[in-house]
Amino acid sequence: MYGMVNKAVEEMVLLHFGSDTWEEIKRAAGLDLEMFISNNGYADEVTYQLVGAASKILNLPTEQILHAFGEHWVLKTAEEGYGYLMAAGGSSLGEFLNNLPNFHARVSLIFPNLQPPIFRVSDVTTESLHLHYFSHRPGLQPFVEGLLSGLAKRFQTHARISVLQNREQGADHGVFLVEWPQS
Amino acid sequence: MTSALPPPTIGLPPGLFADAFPFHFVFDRTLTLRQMGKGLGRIAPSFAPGSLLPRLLSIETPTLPLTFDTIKAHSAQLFILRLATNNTRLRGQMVYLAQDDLIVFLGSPWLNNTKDLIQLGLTLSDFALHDPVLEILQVMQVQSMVTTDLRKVTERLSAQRAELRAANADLRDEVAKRLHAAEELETQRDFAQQVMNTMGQGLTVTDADGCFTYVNPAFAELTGHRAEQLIGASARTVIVEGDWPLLAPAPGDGTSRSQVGEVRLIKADGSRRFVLMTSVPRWRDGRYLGMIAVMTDLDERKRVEEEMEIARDRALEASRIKSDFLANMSHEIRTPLNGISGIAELLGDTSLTSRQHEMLGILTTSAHTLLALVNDILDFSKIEAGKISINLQPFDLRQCLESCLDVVATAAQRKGLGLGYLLKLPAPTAVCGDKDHLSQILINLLSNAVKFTDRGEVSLIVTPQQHPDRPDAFEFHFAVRDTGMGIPLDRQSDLFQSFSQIDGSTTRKYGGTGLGLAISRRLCELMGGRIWLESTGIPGSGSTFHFVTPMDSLSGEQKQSGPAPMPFRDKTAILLMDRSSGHTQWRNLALLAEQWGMEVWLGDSIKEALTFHQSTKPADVIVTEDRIHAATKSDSDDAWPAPWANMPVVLLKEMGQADRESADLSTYPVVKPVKAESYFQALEKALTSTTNVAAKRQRLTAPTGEKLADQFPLRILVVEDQLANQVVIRRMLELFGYTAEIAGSGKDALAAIQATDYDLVLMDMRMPEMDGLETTQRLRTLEQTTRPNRRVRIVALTANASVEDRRACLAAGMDDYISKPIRLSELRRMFEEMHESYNQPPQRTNESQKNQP
Repeated sequence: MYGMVNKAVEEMVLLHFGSDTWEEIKRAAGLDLEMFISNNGYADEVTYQLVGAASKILNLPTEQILHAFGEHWVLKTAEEGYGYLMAAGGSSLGEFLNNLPNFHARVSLIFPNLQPPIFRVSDVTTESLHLHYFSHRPGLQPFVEGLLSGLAKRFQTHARISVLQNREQGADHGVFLVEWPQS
Repeated sequence: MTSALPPPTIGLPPGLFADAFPFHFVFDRTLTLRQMGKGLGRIAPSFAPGSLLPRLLSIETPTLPLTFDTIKAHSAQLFILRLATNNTRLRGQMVYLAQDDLIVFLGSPWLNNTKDLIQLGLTLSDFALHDPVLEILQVMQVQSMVTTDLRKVTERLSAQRAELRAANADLRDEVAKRLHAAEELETQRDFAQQVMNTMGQGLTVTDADGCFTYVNPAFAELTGHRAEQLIGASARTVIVEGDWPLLAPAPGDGTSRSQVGEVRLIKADGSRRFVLMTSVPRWRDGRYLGMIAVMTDLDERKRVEEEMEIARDRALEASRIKSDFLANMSHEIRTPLNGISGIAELLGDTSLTSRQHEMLGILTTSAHTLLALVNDILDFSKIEAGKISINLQPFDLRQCLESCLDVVATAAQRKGLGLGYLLKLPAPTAVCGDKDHLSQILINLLSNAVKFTDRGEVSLIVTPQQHPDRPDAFEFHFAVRDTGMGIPLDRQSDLFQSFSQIDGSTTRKYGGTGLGLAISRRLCELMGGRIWLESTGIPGSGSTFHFVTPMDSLSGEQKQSGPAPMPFRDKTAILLMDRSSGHTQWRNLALLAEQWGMEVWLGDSIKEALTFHQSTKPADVIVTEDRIHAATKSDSDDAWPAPWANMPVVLLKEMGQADRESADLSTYPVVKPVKAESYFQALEKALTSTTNVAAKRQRLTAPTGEKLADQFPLRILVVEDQLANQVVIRRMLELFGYTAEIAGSGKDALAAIQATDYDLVLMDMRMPEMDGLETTQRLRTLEQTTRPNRRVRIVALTANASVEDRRACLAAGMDDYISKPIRLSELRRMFEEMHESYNQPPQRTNESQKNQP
């Protein structure tokens, strides 16, 4: 996982719980480093340990933390780091989700060591679509769900996100039904 | 074998071409725009077919004029164009289409950051999928993020470096401080080490197990071991077992309280050495760490102490020998003196020529002077030996003062001096104090005053001062004032020193040892008081000796807080004084009369007194001097006033004249110095029995001294071992009409007493085998068993005239004492007191005494 992900976790904790809690989580996760470098690759375990330690210290379920992290990623991290790219990605939730596969495909070129998830869109209508999520990393589907929720908030769209297929329950990939009724 | 396929002719339909190159444009040889992609139209709305290219853009790279051929000629180069409308740069290549003689530009906008996308109104879908511009933008964005990260890292590093520098500075300061502290510690340690190494006392430090962790050289020397041998060894190896308890703190102590005690060290050679050990336990957090001990060698001190003890014993022995010697000498001198004085007094009653009388007077005076000298020396030696102690007892202060005046009365009278005392009121009369020593001081001061005064008056004025907080506590101020020669200022400071007199001529002229004032000062200090002198130093101006001493009023006296009884209430007295005989006694007489309720007129003019009597208030009694009364009665010019013809008169008479009663029935004599009690009785008689002539006549026929034995027969035993004294005493008793039996020893006395019922025993104190004290004690014991209801009166005949000796007499069971050499006056006093006690009721109550002065 690239440093920017762990950094986003750090920013989220600092924003909501302060530096003491972050230091405590780092200690609980067994991490002894000052900060994460955005384009530096870190073992996936680092991220998992951080999330696990945060769950323990904050006394919150991992899923909830990952969901919150997904929202934070869209609304804070991506917005602050890729605001214009995000804006160029589309002017509505539907347009943005339609562009998402290409957008992610391009990102994977830039970060050669990144093993990013792959997204695919199907069943597109004016008010809904199916988003397919492929990843070799287990347990991050709540994060994706948080991302979708964050995107809906970003575009100020009331959206309903349903899990049609859960990777955590044995499916080969996750499928979300994203609906944004026009009226 | 397969043949190579012919390359396909790729021709894109216009729509697909526009999708593949959304930012292309085509122009002809006239530089007129013929076609363009939709993306270009979005970022540059001025682009429209038919527009002239130079208006729309310029070539930035390569540097070429904007002509068709020039561009065609350089089509192999990368072209960077700048749009005129918004300065957006397009990056791409020029392709010449020969078939149509057109040039087509294939490229896309060159963007430096993602922000440009939004400013140009582009979206991701405006770019062809093959166009890497977006990826480049992403890379740049990531670079931007990384740059931000690096900046943050740099900032953090800078901050940490600053913190580190600050911490380093603090650390350097701390290190410097610690180095300084270490140096200080080192200096102190060196100093302490030097002190410990050079101190004369032994110093040890032991651990919790009592083993030495440090010993200084002095301690090693004390033990005879080397310091290295002692380190690690138990302290018990060098300290005697019985002294081990001092090596540990008291159980459960827990404080750093020091212990001090003597311990015995075991030296290397097995011998013992005494040291004084002061040990302090060391504790940390309640845990006992060990002990620090300092040891002082006591061997030297013990040796010095022993030497001092021996020296002190020798000195005490020498002092005791000296005291004994003085006491013995005193006795040995007194015994022959007794003989000399006694015989001289007896000689005085024989018929002598005037020359013989004169010589006899010198002989008597010399004997008395010698006796006083011996007494002074004896007293002083006792004070020096610390043998004088204070004995508090209840006594009547006024009686004490009067007794003291009595002692010097004869001498004062002989010199024609006025003598009186004044006890200022209010004053407690019953007090608790050392009566004997108080009397000794007063007699000494009064004797000196009389001795050094040739005319005028010697007076004693007593002023009591009550303690502000304790009603029964008083400080009495005694002032003995004379009108004598005075004392020069330069001699006043050492007057109270031993053997000090004004000068040598004083001794020659007045006699004395010069010890009297030194003795008085020491006695005064023993009684908790002080003594001082007041004299202007002008010769003839007189002196006043003051001393103060605390005495308690008796509680019974305090309870009697109501007004004093006034037995002579409503009576009036005229006190007609003779100023030449001193004013003080008259003040005292007036004060006493007022105290008893009388109205008093005091003066020295008969005329004024008479005026008072006739015009102001008739008097009930007149008190005056015998001389005035006698002179006026015989002097026709100044005759005793007629109105006073039958007035009762209390006459103040000189000693020796009182016995010869006047035939004048209206006069009542009082002997000077006047005692309050006799003054009271005289007044009482004068006021209550002015016409009781029968009583008066009765008094005139009262027994005189010469017939005392007839009126008051007594069986007398004299216990005396010295033959000369036996003769003197027997002769003196014969003068009173008594015949005494003699016992030559204590043993003989006991035998005689068992055989005969004596009324009086005169007991010598110093006798061989059994002295007077022991004889008396045995006699009293014998009396208890054989005659429990009869108690013979025993009077000591003592040459040991000191206060302590008199106390010893009374303690042994005696009733009175007479100092040797015996005087007739003393014997007379003794018989009178005995006679009085026989005639009075056996127990006189305190209450009745209180109503008397």
